[in-house]
Amino acid sequence: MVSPQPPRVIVEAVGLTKIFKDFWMRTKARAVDNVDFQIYANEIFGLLGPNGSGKSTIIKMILGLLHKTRGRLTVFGRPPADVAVKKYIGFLPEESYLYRFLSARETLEYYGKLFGLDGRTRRRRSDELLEMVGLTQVAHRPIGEFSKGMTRRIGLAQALINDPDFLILDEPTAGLDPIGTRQVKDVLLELRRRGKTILLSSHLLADVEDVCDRMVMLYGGRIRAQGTAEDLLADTDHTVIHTPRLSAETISRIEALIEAEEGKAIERVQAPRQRLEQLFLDIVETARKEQVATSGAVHGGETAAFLRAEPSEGEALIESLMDEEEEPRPRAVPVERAGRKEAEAEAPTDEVLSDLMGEDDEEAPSAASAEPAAPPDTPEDVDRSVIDSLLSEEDEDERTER
Amino acid sequence: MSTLRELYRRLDLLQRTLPFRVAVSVLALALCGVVFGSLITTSDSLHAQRSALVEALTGQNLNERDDHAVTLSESGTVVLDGRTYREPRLADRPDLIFDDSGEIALPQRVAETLLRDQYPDWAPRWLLEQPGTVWMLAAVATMWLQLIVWMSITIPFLATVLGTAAAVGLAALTGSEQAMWAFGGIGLLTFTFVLLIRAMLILYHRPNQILAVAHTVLKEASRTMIPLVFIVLILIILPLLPIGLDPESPLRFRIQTFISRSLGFTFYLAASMTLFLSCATVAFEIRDRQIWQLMTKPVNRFSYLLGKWLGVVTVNLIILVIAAVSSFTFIQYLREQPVAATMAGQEDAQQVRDAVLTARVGTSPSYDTLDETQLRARVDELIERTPELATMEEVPLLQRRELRRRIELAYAASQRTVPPRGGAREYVFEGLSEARELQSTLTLRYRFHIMRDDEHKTFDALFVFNRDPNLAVSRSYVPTVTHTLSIPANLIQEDGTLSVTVVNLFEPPPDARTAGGLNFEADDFELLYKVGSFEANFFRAVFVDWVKLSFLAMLGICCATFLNFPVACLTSFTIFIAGTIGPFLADSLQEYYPPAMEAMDWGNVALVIQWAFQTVIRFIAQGIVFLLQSFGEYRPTQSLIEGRLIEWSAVAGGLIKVGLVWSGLAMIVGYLVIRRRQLAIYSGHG
Repeated sequence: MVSPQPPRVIVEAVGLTKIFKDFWMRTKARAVDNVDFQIYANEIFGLLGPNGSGKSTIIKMILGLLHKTRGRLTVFGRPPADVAVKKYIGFLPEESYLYRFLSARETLEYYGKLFGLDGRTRRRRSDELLEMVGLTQVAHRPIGEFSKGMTRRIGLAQALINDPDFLILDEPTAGLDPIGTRQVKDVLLELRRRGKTILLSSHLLADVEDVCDRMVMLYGGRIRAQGTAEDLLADTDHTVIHTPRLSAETISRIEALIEAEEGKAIERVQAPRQRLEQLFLDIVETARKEQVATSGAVHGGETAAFLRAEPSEGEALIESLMDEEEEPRPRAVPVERAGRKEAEAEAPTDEVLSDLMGEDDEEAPSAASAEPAAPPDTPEDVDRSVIDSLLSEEDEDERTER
Repeated sequence: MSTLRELYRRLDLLQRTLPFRVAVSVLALALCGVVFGSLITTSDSLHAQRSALVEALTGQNLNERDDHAVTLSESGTVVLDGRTYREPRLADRPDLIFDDSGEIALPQRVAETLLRDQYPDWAPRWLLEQPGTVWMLAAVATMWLQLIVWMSITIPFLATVLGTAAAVGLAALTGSEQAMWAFGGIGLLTFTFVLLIRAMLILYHRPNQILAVAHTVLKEASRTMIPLVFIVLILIILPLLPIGLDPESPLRFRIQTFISRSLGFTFYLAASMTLFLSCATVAFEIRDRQIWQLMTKPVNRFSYLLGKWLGVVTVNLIILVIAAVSSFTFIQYLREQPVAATMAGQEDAQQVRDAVLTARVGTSPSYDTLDETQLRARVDELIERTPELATMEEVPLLQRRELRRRIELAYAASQRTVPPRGGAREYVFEGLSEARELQSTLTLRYRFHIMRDDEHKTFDALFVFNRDPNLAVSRSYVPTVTHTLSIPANLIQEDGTLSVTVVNLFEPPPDARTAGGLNFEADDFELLYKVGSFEANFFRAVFVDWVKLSFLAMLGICCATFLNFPVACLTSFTIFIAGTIGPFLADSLQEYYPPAMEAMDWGNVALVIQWAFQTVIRFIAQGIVFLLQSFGEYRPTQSLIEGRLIEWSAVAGGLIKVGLVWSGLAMIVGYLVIRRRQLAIYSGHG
């Protein structure tokens, strides 16, 4: 019997710790505390946690923008500071830090040149990405004149210019309208389909829930829970049946049947409402059909063609990159088990989850499984992301001056 | 405003399209064809007629009744190839046309005079007289216009042309010719800047990380406020500088003033721009976190710094090229300006040629020095004559050194002192063989002190060359003012020496408190002679300025890797200023000594504090001088003003020392800092 190929590890953190110190070398903050996790190839990995939980710090260490204080951290089997690995990484920070004096097209050109892309490839990818994020009309406007949502869009475009094998997104939907949010998720799913690996950090829980294969939940710089979305969120105590609208009489008969067969009662019957996201998208679509003028981003196109293409040379290059690793990689600590142990030792998982989810009265989900799961199907329900987006601060007119 | 910006954006997009480029390119070609076609045709035709006339008139003799000579003398006409050339005034002055033998003396001049009516009014005569220049101008203009079209700067070009034309038109309405030239110059320089920036952007448009970073710095320089303010100032003020020149002052002073103002002003403004831009481009990038996105790309931090430096250095190059070309052009214009038809005017013209627009080296006379035995004897003698030292069992070493230094200085000063009442001292200049070979006129530059240096009085001195009383020149001089004396090269001896004996003719009154000796500083009495051309010297001066700016660029970048923008600016400006005044500081330090420790009264607290303060100050100043003196010693503008040669060896030395070693050190420091620096600071947001 042939044993299954173990999943390839893209990022590995063992005992990862980051302590910020002040001028007198006194500990100012322990942002990340003894964290173990692995990110496997071809998965969307979520970093979840409230503000200050250490998500961005972990990302910055992966990118080499911060140095770890202790522990081991490798990206493609190499130290994060190694410039060679960055060729395969795309990064969208929590805010898009772009040159205000460059136009959208010049920005993409610039980053394309940093990746050594030739002129034709740069132009083609820039065109496709601008079309994808709906900024073709404003491609020649300086970014300093863009709204926050537009800068997020161009930020996403620059993160994809090199067709990265490993995409790191820090709060990718912050500042985006529901259309942009939907589009980002579509891009992520498309990239995963092509075998890319994605690290997604967010405190918008719906974003993570919709697209992530596995996730870790951080609080105070420590992992409190990790596992697949299915395992963490499974509710094995209830059954939901969707049917066309039923009469009260039919419902009564069903309840009688359930009571007779299972000895249980129906807890709640409700007529579903139209989802807010759908309503929003319908309104925008109608306006678009009526050709209402807008000075901002227009409805984006489909995912850029080069991002939809089948995997090519990148895979082989990464293989070669990882094969070059001289030092034999130590066996990773079984992250899930360690995480669970830690959670058991320090704080009950259900309490932390309740704290994170804000559902004090509900039961905590079950613990995570040890193996990375197969990607979930494309989600159908994304209504919470819409609400999150609508509730987030809208700052279309925000302008920051140097 | 936003409408205008939107309009510009649309036009900008339009000018980048292929159909637009092709159409405008063809239009430009047609325009050049029409304008230069007419010019070339007319110029060629005139040239052919001139040649034919010269050929026909050469050898024509009135005494021999040659046809053209006869018609010329009778009616001032020449008929050639069926065309009649007429200038009746020629017939009135046969004495000017024919020589004693009756032959036409200057056929070229006569031909020019006969052709005068043939020149059209719509083109400048000087241009039509030179068909080669017309062709060259046509080629340059055509190429220039094509570059403009294909580099997609047609709209900025048209905008600049229209803006300049409007400004010049307004100036014309007010009747101010100077303002017209100034506005025209501003327009021309502005557009040249746009053209050069675009050219460099195209040059750097490669998928190379260093070039990509430099490319973005160029855009930053031309689009953000801080560098633009300085660049605009340079582009505006340069064309206005000639307005400030006093037309009544001697030409050499006007030229020197212009060189000083144009190059000096450009350097200091460019230096300020360089420091601000280099600090801003890194410090703001770290502050505003664009560097996060940059450093997560496969960019080596060394390449990042190199790219930033290359960008700033390129902006400097563009500014210096613009300033140099415009200044040089105006200097050429100035040198052609007429001088007064007096003796002073002729001397002025000679000074322009031999002392300003030239490249000279200076040599000082050789002075006697005291050998070790003589020095020791004089120190002992001084100790014996000083009661407080004579009573000491043994004079401390430091004090002996101080005495020795004072004796050396006094002996050197005595070498440069000439007693009054006909007292004389001979100075021998050596190593003048090169000047003798080149037969270049020597200039003796001197600045004397006498009595109390009353600048309202003049004194007399006699200069005797090679001890020959027949080769003596008497000159009046004003104390503390620099004077010059031209000396023919044939006075240099075969062995390359020239002896100059200075005779002090001053007769001090009997009641004078001072002795009336003439004296001078070591570098205020020298012989200068030409060894090169002003043009090459000018190029070297600009190059040295560029090297200095390159160091400043790296200095600013280095400071910004670990300091925020204001502190980085403050630090780099402090270093720049300290470097600039380094040589003056070095001079001052020769006179600034805290009291010797042996001579200190350690019980007096006030004196101890003063001593400590002076020691610290001297220590800091010595450090600055040691590190930065060389930066200030390279003063190319001053050399140009004085018509001194900037030697290639000095240029190479500056390039190695300032351009490579200092810049390299600053870069290594910056790299070490940024390599270890955690670019993502703790935000407090997880």
